[in-house]
Amino acid sequence: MSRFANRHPVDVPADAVFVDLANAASRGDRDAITRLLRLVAPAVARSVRMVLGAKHPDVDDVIQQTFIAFVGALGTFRGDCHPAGFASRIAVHTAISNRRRTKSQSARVEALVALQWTERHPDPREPDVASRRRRLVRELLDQLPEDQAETLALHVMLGYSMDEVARSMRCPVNTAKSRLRLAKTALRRRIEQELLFFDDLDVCS
Amino acid sequence: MTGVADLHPEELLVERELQGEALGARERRTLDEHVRTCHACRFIRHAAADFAREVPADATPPPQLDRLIQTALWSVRAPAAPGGRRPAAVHGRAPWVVAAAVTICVGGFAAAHLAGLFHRRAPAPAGRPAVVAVKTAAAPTATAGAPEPRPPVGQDPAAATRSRAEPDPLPRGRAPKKSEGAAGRPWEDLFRRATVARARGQIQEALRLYGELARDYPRSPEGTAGFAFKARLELDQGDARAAARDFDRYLARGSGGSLEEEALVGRAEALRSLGQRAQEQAAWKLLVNRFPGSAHARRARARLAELASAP
Repeated sequence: MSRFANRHPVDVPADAVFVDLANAASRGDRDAITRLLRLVAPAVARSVRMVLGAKHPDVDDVIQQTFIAFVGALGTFRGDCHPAGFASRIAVHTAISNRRRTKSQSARVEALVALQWTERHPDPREPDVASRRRRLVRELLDQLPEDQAETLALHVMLGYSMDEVARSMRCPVNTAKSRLRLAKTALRRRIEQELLFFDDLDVCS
Repeated sequence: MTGVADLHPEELLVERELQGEALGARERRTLDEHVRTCHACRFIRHAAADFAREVPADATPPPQLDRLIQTALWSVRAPAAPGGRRPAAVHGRAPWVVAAAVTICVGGFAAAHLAGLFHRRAPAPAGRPAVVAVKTAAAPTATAGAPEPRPPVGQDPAAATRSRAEPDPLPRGRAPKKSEGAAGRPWEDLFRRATVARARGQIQEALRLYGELARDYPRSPEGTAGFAFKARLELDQGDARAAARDFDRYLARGSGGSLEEEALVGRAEALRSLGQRAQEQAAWKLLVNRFPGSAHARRARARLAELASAP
């Protein structure tokens, strides 16, 4: 069974009930908005935590931003996939934007905060090597062109297949594959730059 | 033939493996051989597992989601921009900024209304722009298409629309100082600092700043909203008594504030925490009467039934 088995399918059209709900919400029905937000909230939270890091101090803010952006984008929801899949893509986009903005504004301060946060909240289950791998992917998200970054995040973090990535990003599958290939090329370069960490990243053995 | 856009065949095996597909023996051998030499594929295999372990798909959602949904609901009341496009994301401390903008627009109107400014509005000082209109336009447009904010009680929607173009009222708690020019007015600065503090998790600092705002500039839209924001934080912090008091203060400013519905809910929750059943019952009833179609009304009715059936 896939390790991502519990997530909502992106390549299966949404039930009509979800489409109706989204239509009502986009017309301003607050009850519908509330129900939709409750429906997508777990997927949004998971996506944001994946991209930012589970204990990142901005997680709550970005979840809220995603909720607002999701409601604002409901008019474009066509029912191609489960609303949670639609919301997840917005969450990934919002979280990556947040990372880039924060990085450009105060990279050093953020690093210090993140360091202090980690020190205050060590996760004993997490071996260092896994943390370093996650850090490397997240840093890569800051550097890649936006489309490649989102493709990498959806594929590696959320476990989307290339078909699902393409559907979620509303682009041809070949475009999604091309973006992933370019992202992996950048990843190779990044790994090579971190030769000192090779053993730690467990990619050489 | 492999196209320019295609991944290598081995990389597609990595993808299939990530999706949990069972690979044949030959495919498995091919994949193992590939990842021995391909750092990137090997890395991605590991990293995908790392991410899945960090935030499992079946993990219990964070407990604060309900609160975040409620806060987001506050924010999606901004009016739709005519013909505006809905972007996929918003930037900055959007929720609170949007909440603040909405609060300032609608709450500002309510404050003006209560203060009688509609009947005897002082002319705006020279050079003082109609900042409310600017703020409305500057609010992230992700909320485009969201419901129109409800006009204050007793006021027609057209008047509410007109009010957005009016200069915001000066705080009437005290006279503005000379330094309080068009730029950097202190109540706006306080509100911004409080919001930043809250976003950074500096709750005590946020409480102090919201308190200062409400105390020193009670007639400004930010000051009025400050009571509601402060109360919400206090409720989240478990200080139900302070929360109930500050929700009361917000509501005492008069009905029709843009956060009235949320303030009524918060007040009922605070009274519930305090075990004041009769007052809680009255608070829920008030909410149902004032906002019968509210998303909170169902919850309110359920709680009222619970209270009625309890000994």
